[in-house]
Amino acid sequence: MVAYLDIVEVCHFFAKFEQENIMGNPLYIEEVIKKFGNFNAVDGISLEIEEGEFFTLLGPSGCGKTTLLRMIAGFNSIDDGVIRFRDKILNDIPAHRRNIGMVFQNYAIFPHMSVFNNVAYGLKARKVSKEEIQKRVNEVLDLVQMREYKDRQPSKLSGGQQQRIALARAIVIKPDILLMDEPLSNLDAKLRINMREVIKKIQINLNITTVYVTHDQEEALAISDRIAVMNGGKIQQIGTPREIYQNPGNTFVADFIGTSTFLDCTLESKTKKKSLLKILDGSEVEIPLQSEYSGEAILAFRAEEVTLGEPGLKLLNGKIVFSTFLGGVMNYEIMLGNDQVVLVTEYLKDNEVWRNVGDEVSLDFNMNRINLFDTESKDVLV
Amino acid sequence: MKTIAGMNRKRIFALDFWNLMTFIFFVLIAVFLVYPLVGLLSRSIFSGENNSFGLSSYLEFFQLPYYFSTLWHSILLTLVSTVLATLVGLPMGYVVARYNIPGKKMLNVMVVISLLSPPFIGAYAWIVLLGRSGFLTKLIEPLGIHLPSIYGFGGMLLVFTFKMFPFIYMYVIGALGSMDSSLEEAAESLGVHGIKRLFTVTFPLILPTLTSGVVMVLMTVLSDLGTPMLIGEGYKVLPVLIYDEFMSEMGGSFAMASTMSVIIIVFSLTVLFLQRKIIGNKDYNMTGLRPPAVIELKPGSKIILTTVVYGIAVFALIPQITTVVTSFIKTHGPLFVKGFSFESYRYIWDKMADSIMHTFTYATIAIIIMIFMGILTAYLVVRRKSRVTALLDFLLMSPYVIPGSVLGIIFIMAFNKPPVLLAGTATILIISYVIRKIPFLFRSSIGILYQLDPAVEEASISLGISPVRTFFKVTAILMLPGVVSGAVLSWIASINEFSSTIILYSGRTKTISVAIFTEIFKDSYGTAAALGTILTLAAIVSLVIFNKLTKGKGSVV
Repeated sequence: MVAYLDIVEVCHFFAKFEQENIMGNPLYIEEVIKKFGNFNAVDGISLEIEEGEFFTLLGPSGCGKTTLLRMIAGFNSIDDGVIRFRDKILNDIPAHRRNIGMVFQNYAIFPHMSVFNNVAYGLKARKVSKEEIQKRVNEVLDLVQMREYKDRQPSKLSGGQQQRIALARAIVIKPDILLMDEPLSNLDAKLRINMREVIKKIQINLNITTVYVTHDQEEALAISDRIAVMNGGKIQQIGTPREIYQNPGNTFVADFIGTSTFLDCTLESKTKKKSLLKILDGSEVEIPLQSEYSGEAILAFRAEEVTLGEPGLKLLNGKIVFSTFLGGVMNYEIMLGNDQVVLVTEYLKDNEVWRNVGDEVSLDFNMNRINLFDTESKDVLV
Repeated sequence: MKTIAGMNRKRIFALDFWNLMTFIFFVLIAVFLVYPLVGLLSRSIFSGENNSFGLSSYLEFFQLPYYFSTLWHSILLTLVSTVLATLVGLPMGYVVARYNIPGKKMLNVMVVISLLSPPFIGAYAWIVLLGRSGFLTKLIEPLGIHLPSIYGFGGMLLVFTFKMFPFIYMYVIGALGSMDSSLEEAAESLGVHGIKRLFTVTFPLILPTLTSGVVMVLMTVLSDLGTPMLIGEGYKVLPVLIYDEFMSEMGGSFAMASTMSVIIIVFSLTVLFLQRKIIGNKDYNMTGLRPPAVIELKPGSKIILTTVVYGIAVFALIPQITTVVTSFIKTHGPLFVKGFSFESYRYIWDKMADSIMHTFTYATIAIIIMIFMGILTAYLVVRRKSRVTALLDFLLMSPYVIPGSVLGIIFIMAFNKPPVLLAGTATILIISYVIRKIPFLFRSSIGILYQLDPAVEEASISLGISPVRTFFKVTAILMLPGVVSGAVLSWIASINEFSSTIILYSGRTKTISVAIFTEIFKDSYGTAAALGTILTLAAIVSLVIFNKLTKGKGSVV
């Protein structure tokens, strides 16, 4: 089922929504800390999220992303630092007075209420009149294409349908901020992509400030205006999906997002414009650096930036040790002379050669797309 | 920024709804549980001259064979009964769960009915059948056959084995039903099958559940007062001796009754501790996505096994059947005579309607209090974990190891004088029911709360409903199925309650179970049977209503 949104309906909803949404001040998070015992789950994070922005917290499990989201929601106390929204400090406002919509990983649909009552729940709490509740619930159910299910019990709904209801329930109250905690992780692969589009379209149309948590990098890249990559309770990098993918700020980000190969190398700077990059014994290239640097370094490049050729023709030589056929692409693991392994993605439409495990190959990579990190601070050198 | 952190810390101690509830529960527990228990302990150790400190009653207990042998009797009776009940219940549960025994539903209903009445009804029924002037005894006497005496150790074993194996049976059926078949399949694929698989995979997996059932049986047998009073005769056990010491108008000693109460509690605690030691943290929470398939038996073994399991179930039902049948038999004084009549029922309607009223009124009030307390305390223990609520958990479960007769005694001793003068009132009975029967309800409430995703409550809060209102609008409602299944057990246990009631009742607050007992002692077997039938009927009706309410999805035990 492809998500199709009735544009007229959406614009109608969107227009009313906008009126009540005062444009301007963003969500500020300043130096916030969350402690669990001696462990800092969130370790001094600062962020600024724009009005109407789709902002994603991305990281592996245990990185503190959900903890931070729950601090914004009011379910985790803030041990230090400040969270502000429109000049209002949220720290001591209890969760139920923050006017924040939240969508949970396992939907958290009230199992004892019909679809309609689930969605109407927050409106009843706000003492909205009966007619108004009817109208707004119907509108939002149209928006998520669930109106025909409004008298159903949640136990009769599929996971995807439950998540639509969860989304409808969160946005019908016209929240100041919409928080989503891995909302798609319990859905199967196809439905996940479908729901991802539904969420993104609704978010754009309602222009609702959204903070989204996920561990799925592809999902984050697809859906976000900006992403904060987190690890160990700290932010590793903030940027647009493209910035984060193409210019990872450190080896963690380069490794976490996309498929990268890291090779030890040395650099010798003659001038800022001309430095010598030595990869293995013998392989040398001249490249420009941001600043002069000499010494050990780490070279990182993406699997799809590598091109393969006949042995001896290109910069590095190696042997294919493992291959995976994925339909449109082949993934190879190529072992270099010093036993380091390079991951390579080759698009079959660009190449007619069928390579086998054991074949000797040479390889090259796009010098404009490489990243260099020093071994200490992991700073970007290119 | 420091000030904000400081403000957060301060709010932890603010007087919110849940802190207030915690405080109230602690006050109630302090008054109605800790204070009486401390009184008991102090009476047992201040047994010297003029109530000075002294362990003389403990010394006396362990030196005088009259007392000490009772402890030995209790332990022996408890252990042997439990072993026998397990030997019947475990294989029967396994066979019924795993093989294609016909009419499983009916079988389960028979087993459940057999455990619905208080144990001493079993004793009563066996006396009516096999006692000195019992039906069967009279029937075969002319033939010159003399059956072994139903009184004493053997008789009690008979009563307890067939009264208690249903618990083991139900626990085993439950555990096997929720076991995932892939575990056994994994064992098979690794080359382990048959008996070896049974002992290396299946039994270890149901062991935690099984031991809970075993401990429940142990506690019930150890603390039962009615059965040994009726059928024990010379074979004295601790609860009987405690009762005698306490109630006897001359020669009895409060200090000795207290000492024995402490000893029986210590023994129960030891059993519980051992179980925890054996089980440790093993809680194999199995979802049972794919329960094991039922195995088809060969016709020969099917007939044999079916006969055996139905034979056991029917045998266990004999007390209930006897009770119901004798309630409709004409009586002449203490004697049953030929012909059926409703005399016994007319008699209890005229003379004992108030006992029936009392039973259901007290149990209803007690169950309402228990439901409120159970829901609130379960929430505190599960969702507001702290050392304080862990202590609350411990205190609420502790009545599990206090035999009813001991609870009765400590209540009388604690509340027979101002400021809290409750002795002889309905209140004291209701409170004793609440304290003694709440563990069932509390546990099942905790169980269901663990199954509820906290995100559902958070969803409600984030939609603008305050945490306290969320509790009542969402959490409490979603907890109800679990609470009700515990409540049914607590309710049935309350209407059947005997051990503490026999000590706490007065002329104005007599209940059915006490009335049955006094009728048996007056040799009015017919009226006793009619009263017993009413109790069983009430229990069955409660279960049927429960099944209707939960549409068959709820499970008791």
